[in-house]
Amino acid sequence: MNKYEFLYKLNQSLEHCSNTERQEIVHYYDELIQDAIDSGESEAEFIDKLGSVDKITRTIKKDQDFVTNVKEKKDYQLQKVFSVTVKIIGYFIFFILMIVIGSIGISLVASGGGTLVFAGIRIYEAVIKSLSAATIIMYAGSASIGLGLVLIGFWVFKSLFVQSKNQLEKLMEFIQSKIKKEGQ
Amino acid sequence: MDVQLKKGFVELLVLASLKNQASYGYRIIQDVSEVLEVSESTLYPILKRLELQNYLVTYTEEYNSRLRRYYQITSQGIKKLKDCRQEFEQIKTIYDYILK
Repeated sequence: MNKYEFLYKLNQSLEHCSNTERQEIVHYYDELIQDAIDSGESEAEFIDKLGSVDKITRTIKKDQDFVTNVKEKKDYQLQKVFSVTVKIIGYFIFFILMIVIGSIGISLVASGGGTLVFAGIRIYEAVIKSLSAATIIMYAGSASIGLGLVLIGFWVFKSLFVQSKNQLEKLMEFIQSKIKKEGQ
Repeated sequence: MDVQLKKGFVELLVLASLKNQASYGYRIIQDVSEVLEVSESTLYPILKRLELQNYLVTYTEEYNSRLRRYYQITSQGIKKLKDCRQEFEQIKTIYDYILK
Protein backbone atom coordinates (compact mmCIF):
# COMPACT_ATOMS: atom_id res chain seq x y z
CA MET A 1 0.00 0.00 0.00
CA ASN A 2 1.37 3.43 -0.80
CA LYS A 3 1.01 6.62 1.22
CA TYR A 4 -2.05 7.95 -0.61
CA GLU A 5 -3.94 4.69 -0.40
CA PHE A 6 -3.15 4.44 3.29
CA LEU A 7 -4.17 8.02 4.08
CA TYR A 8 -7.34 7.67 2.03
CA LYS A 9 -8.31 4.53 3.91
CA LEU A 10 -7.46 6.16 7.22
CA ASN A 11 -9.56 9.21 6.43
CA GLN A 12 -12.48 6.96 5.47
CA SER A 13 -12.30 5.01 8.70
CA LEU A 14 -12.30 8.08 10.96
CA GLU A 15 -16.01 8.69 10.56
CA HIS A 16 -16.61 8.98 14.28
CA CYS A 17 -14.15 11.88 14.59
CA SER A 18 -14.78 15.56 14.07
CA ASN A 19 -13.42 17.12 10.90
CA THR A 20 -10.61 18.92 12.71
CA GLU A 21 -9.54 15.78 14.46
CA ARG A 22 -9.69 13.79 11.27
CA GLN A 23 -7.46 16.28 9.51
CA GLU A 24 -5.06 16.29 12.43
CA ILE A 25 -4.73 12.51 12.52
CA VAL A 26 -4.32 12.22 8.76
CA HIS A 27 -1.71 14.95 8.84
CA TYR A 28 0.12 13.22 11.68
CA TYR A 29 0.43 10.02 9.64
CA ASP A 30 1.19 11.90 6.43
CA GLU A 31 4.07 13.64 8.20
CA LEU A 32 5.34 10.43 9.82
CA ILE A 33 5.40 8.57 6.51
CA GLN A 34 7.09 11.49 4.76
CA ASP A 35 9.71 11.76 7.53
CA ALA A 36 10.32 8.02 7.35
CA ILE A 37 10.81 8.21 3.58
CA ASP A 38 13.15 11.19 3.98
CA SER A 39 15.17 9.19 6.49
CA GLY A 40 15.66 6.47 3.91
CA GLU A 41 13.00 4.01 5.04
CA SER A 42 10.96 2.14 2.45
CA GLU A 43 7.48 3.60 2.04
CA ALA A 44 5.69 0.26 1.81
CA GLU A 45 7.61 -1.29 4.70
CA PHE A 46 6.98 1.67 6.96
CA ILE A 47 3.25 1.67 6.18
CA ASP A 48 3.19 -2.05 6.84
CA LYS A 49 4.84 -1.38 10.20
CA LEU A 50 2.10 1.11 11.11
CA GLY A 51 -0.39 -1.76 11.30
CA SER A 52 -3.86 -2.00 9.88
CA VAL A 53 -6.02 1.11 9.55
CA ASP A 54 -8.73 -0.57 11.61
CA LYS A 55 -6.33 -1.10 14.46
CA ILE A 56 -5.18 2.52 14.35
CA THR A 57 -8.77 3.73 14.40
CA ARG A 58 -9.56 1.46 17.33
CA THR A 59 -6.57 2.75 19.31
CA ILE A 60 -7.74 6.31 18.77
CA LYS A 61 -11.32 5.43 19.65
CA LYS A 62 -10.25 3.62 22.79
CA ASP A 63 -8.28 6.61 23.93
CA GLN A 64 -11.17 8.96 23.23
CA ASP A 65 -13.37 6.74 25.36
CA PHE A 66 -10.70 6.79 28.05
CA VAL A 67 -10.51 10.58 28.02
CA THR A 68 -14.31 10.92 28.19
CA ASN A 69 -14.44 8.38 30.99
CA VAL A 70 -11.85 10.24 33.00
CA LYS A 71 -13.78 13.43 32.45
CA GLU A 72 -17.03 11.83 33.55
CA LYS A 73 -15.33 9.84 36.34
CA LYS A 74 -17.08 6.62 35.53
CA ASP A 75 -16.67 3.49 37.58
CA TYR A 76 -13.96 1.60 35.73
CA GLN A 77 -14.17 -1.86 37.26
CA LEU A 78 -17.90 -2.10 36.83
CA GLN A 79 -17.66 -0.86 33.28
CA LYS A 80 -14.90 -3.33 32.47
CA VAL A 81 -16.94 -6.32 33.65
CA PHE A 82 -19.94 -4.98 31.79
CA SER A 83 -18.04 -4.41 28.56
CA VAL A 84 -16.51 -7.90 28.60
CA THR A 85 -19.96 -9.48 29.01
CA VAL A 86 -21.41 -7.32 26.27
CA LYS A 87 -18.49 -8.20 24.00
CA ILE A 88 -18.90 -11.94 24.52
CA ILE A 89 -22.65 -11.75 23.89
CA GLY A 90 -21.91 -9.52 20.91
CA TYR A 91 -19.53 -12.06 19.37
CA PHE A 92 -21.99 -14.87 20.00
CA ILE A 93 -24.79 -13.02 18.22
CA PHE A 94 -22.37 -12.03 15.48
CA PHE A 95 -21.35 -15.60 14.73
CA ILE A 96 -24.96 -16.81 14.68
CA LEU A 97 -25.72 -13.97 12.30
CA MET A 98 -22.78 -14.99 10.13
CA ILE A 99 -24.14 -18.53 9.87
CA VAL A 100 -27.62 -17.25 8.97
CA ILE A 101 -26.29 -14.83 6.35
CA GLY A 102 -23.97 -17.56 5.05
CA SER A 103 -26.94 -19.90 4.57
CA ILE A 104 -28.85 -17.15 2.77
CA GLY A 105 -25.83 -16.69 0.52
CA ILE A 106 -25.65 -20.42 -0.22
CA SER A 107 -29.36 -20.65 -1.02
CA LEU A 108 -29.14 -17.60 -3.28
CA VAL A 109 -26.24 -19.07 -5.23
CA ALA A 110 -27.86 -22.51 -5.37
CA SER A 111 -31.32 -21.36 -6.48
CA GLY A 112 -29.85 -18.77 -8.86
CA GLY A 113 -27.45 -21.33 -10.31
CA GLY A 114 -30.27 -23.85 -10.70
CA THR A 115 -32.50 -21.36 -12.50
CA LEU A 116 -29.63 -20.31 -14.71
CA VAL A 117 -28.76 -23.88 -15.75
CA PHE A 118 -32.40 -24.84 -16.22
CA ALA A 119 -33.14 -21.75 -18.34
CA GLY A 120 -29.93 -22.34 -20.29
CA ILE A 121 -31.01 -25.87 -21.19
CA ARG A 122 -34.45 -24.63 -22.21
CA ILE A 123 -32.95 -21.91 -24.40
CA TYR A 124 -30.73 -24.55 -26.05
CA GLU A 125 -33.75 -26.78 -26.66
CA ALA A 126 -35.83 -23.89 -27.96
CA VAL A 127 -33.09 -22.93 -30.41
CA ILE A 128 -32.65 -26.54 -31.60
CA LYS A 129 -36.41 -27.02 -32.04
CA SER A 130 -36.57 -23.44 -33.46
CA LEU A 131 -39.42 -22.43 -31.16
CA SER A 132 -40.87 -18.90 -31.21
CA ALA A 133 -38.73 -15.91 -30.25
CA ALA A 134 -41.11 -15.14 -27.38
CA THR A 135 -40.30 -18.49 -25.74
CA ILE A 136 -36.57 -17.87 -26.06
CA ILE A 137 -36.91 -14.37 -24.61
CA MET A 138 -38.93 -15.77 -21.70
CA TYR A 139 -36.21 -18.30 -20.91
CA ALA A 140 -33.52 -15.66 -21.36
CA GLY A 141 -35.39 -13.61 -18.75
CA SER A 142 -35.33 -16.53 -16.33
CA ALA A 143 -31.65 -17.02 -17.04
CA SER A 144 -30.86 -13.39 -16.20
CA ILE A 145 -32.88 -13.63 -12.98
CA GLY A 146 -30.81 -16.72 -12.11
CA LEU A 147 -27.59 -14.90 -12.91
CA GLY A 148 -28.70 -11.97 -10.76
CA LEU A 149 -29.39 -14.28 -7.82
CA VAL A 150 -25.97 -15.90 -8.18
CA LEU A 151 -24.30 -12.49 -8.25
CA ILE A 152 -26.21 -11.32 -5.17
CA GLY A 153 -25.20 -14.57 -3.45
CA PHE A 154 -21.53 -13.96 -4.25
CA TRP A 155 -21.81 -10.38 -3.07
CA VAL A 156 -23.23 -11.63 0.24
CA PHE A 157 -20.28 -14.02 0.54
CA LYS A 158 -17.81 -11.27 -0.24
CA SER A 159 -19.24 -8.89 2.37
CA LEU A 160 -19.41 -11.75 4.82
CA PHE A 161 -15.75 -12.54 4.22
CA VAL A 162 -14.62 -8.93 4.65
CA GLN A 163 -16.71 -8.48 7.78
CA SER A 164 -15.66 -11.72 9.39
CA LYS A 165 -11.98 -11.02 8.69
CA ASN A 166 -12.33 -7.69 10.42
CA GLN A 167 -14.26 -9.18 13.34
CA LEU A 168 -11.86 -12.09 13.72
CA GLU A 169 -8.93 -9.68 13.86
CA LYS A 170 -10.78 -7.80 16.60
CA LEU A 171 -11.62 -11.01 18.45
CA MET A 172 -8.00 -12.16 18.34
CA GLU A 173 -6.86 -8.83 19.74
CA PHE A 174 -9.47 -9.07 22.47
CA ILE A 175 -8.42 -12.62 23.41
CA GLN A 176 -4.75 -11.70 23.33
CA SER A 177 -5.31 -8.74 25.63
CA LYS A 178 -7.24 -10.99 28.03
CA ILE A 179 -4.48 -13.60 28.00
CA LYS A 180 -1.87 -10.93 28.56
CA LYS A 181 -3.78 -9.60 31.55
CA GLU A 182 -4.22 -13.10 32.98
CA GLY A 183 -0.51 -13.71 32.63
CA GLN A 184 0.45 -10.72 34.67
CA MET B 1 4.78 -4.49 31.04
CA ASP B 2 1.30 -3.45 32.12
CA VAL B 3 -0.36 -1.31 29.44
CA GLN B 4 -1.34 1.54 31.75
CA LEU B 5 2.07 1.59 33.41
CA LYS B 6 3.77 1.65 30.03
CA LYS B 7 1.53 4.47 28.87
CA GLY B 8 2.52 6.48 31.92
CA PHE B 9 6.20 5.88 31.23
CA VAL B 10 5.87 6.77 27.56
CA GLU B 11 4.20 10.05 28.54
CA LEU B 12 7.17 10.91 30.73
CA LEU B 13 9.68 9.72 28.13
CA VAL B 14 8.06 11.94 25.52
CA LEU B 15 8.31 14.92 27.85
CA ALA B 16 11.92 14.05 28.64
CA SER B 17 12.76 13.86 24.93
CA LEU B 18 11.39 17.40 24.54
CA LYS B 19 13.29 18.78 27.51
CA ASN B 20 16.11 20.32 25.51
CA GLN B 21 14.43 21.16 22.23
CA ALA B 22 11.13 20.96 20.41
CA SER B 23 10.74 17.84 18.31
CA TYR B 24 8.42 16.18 15.76
CA GLY B 25 6.53 12.88 15.63
CA TYR B 26 9.03 10.71 13.78
CA ARG B 27 11.98 11.82 15.89
CA ILE B 28 10.08 11.50 19.17
CA ILE B 29 9.30 7.87 18.32
CA GLN B 30 12.95 7.20 17.54
CA ASP B 31 14.17 8.89 20.73
CA VAL B 32 11.65 7.22 23.01
CA SER B 33 12.13 3.81 21.34
CA GLU B 34 15.75 3.83 22.45
CA VAL B 35 14.45 3.31 25.98
CA LEU B 36 10.99 1.78 25.56
CA GLU B 37 9.45 0.47 22.38
CA VAL B 38 6.56 2.64 21.26
CA SER B 39 4.45 2.31 18.14
CA GLU B 40 3.40 5.13 15.86
CA SER B 41 -0.25 4.53 16.59
CA THR B 42 0.11 4.69 20.36
CA LEU B 43 2.11 7.90 20.25
CA TYR B 44 -0.63 10.01 18.73
CA PRO B 45 -3.13 9.67 21.61
CA ILE B 46 -0.32 10.25 24.09
CA LEU B 47 0.76 13.48 22.43
CA LYS B 48 -2.87 14.55 22.32
CA ARG B 49 -3.29 13.83 25.98
CA LEU B 50 -0.12 15.68 26.97
CA GLU B 51 -1.38 18.66 25.00
CA LEU B 52 -4.77 18.49 26.72
CA GLN B 53 -3.05 18.50 30.09
CA ASN B 54 -1.00 21.54 29.04
CA TYR B 55 2.30 19.69 29.34
CA LEU B 56 3.17 20.59 25.79
CA VAL B 57 2.13 22.96 23.03
CA THR B 58 2.29 22.43 19.29
CA TYR B 59 3.21 24.61 16.36
CA THR B 60 3.74 23.99 12.67
CA GLU B 61 6.82 24.96 10.77
CA GLU B 62 7.80 24.51 7.16
CA TYR B 63 10.34 21.83 6.45
CA ASN B 64 11.37 20.70 2.95
CA SER B 65 8.42 22.68 1.54
CA ARG B 66 5.89 20.80 3.66
CA LEU B 67 4.38 21.48 7.05
CA ARG B 68 5.72 19.68 10.06
CA ARG B 69 4.15 19.76 13.49
CA TYR B 70 6.50 20.42 16.37
CA TYR B 71 5.88 19.67 20.01
CA GLN B 72 7.31 21.94 22.65
CA ILE B 73 7.35 21.31 26.39
CA THR B 74 5.69 23.91 28.65
CA SER B 75 6.73 25.05 32.12
CA GLN B 76 4.06 22.69 33.47
CA GLY B 77 5.66 19.86 31.57
CA ILE B 78 9.08 20.72 33.00
CA LYS B 79 7.54 20.75 36.45
CA LYS B 80 6.02 17.32 35.79
CA LEU B 81 9.49 16.00 34.96
CA LYS B 82 10.93 17.54 38.09
CA ASP B 83 8.24 15.86 40.17
CA CYS B 84 9.55 12.55 38.84
CA ARG B 85 12.64 12.97 40.95
CA GLN B 86 10.57 12.88 44.12
CA GLU B 87 8.37 10.12 42.78
CA PHE B 88 11.43 8.09 41.92
CA GLU B 89 12.46 7.82 45.56
CA GLN B 90 8.95 6.67 46.38
CA ILE B 91 8.84 4.15 43.54
CA LYS B 92 12.25 2.87 44.54
CA THR B 93 11.09 2.29 48.10
CA ILE B 94 8.01 0.48 46.82
CA TYR B 95 10.02 -1.78 44.53
CA ASP B 96 12.65 -2.44 47.17
CA TYR B 97 9.84 -3.67 49.36
CA ILE B 98 8.14 -5.73 46.62
CA LEU B 99 11.34 -7.41 45.54
CA LYS B 100 12.67 -8.00 49.04
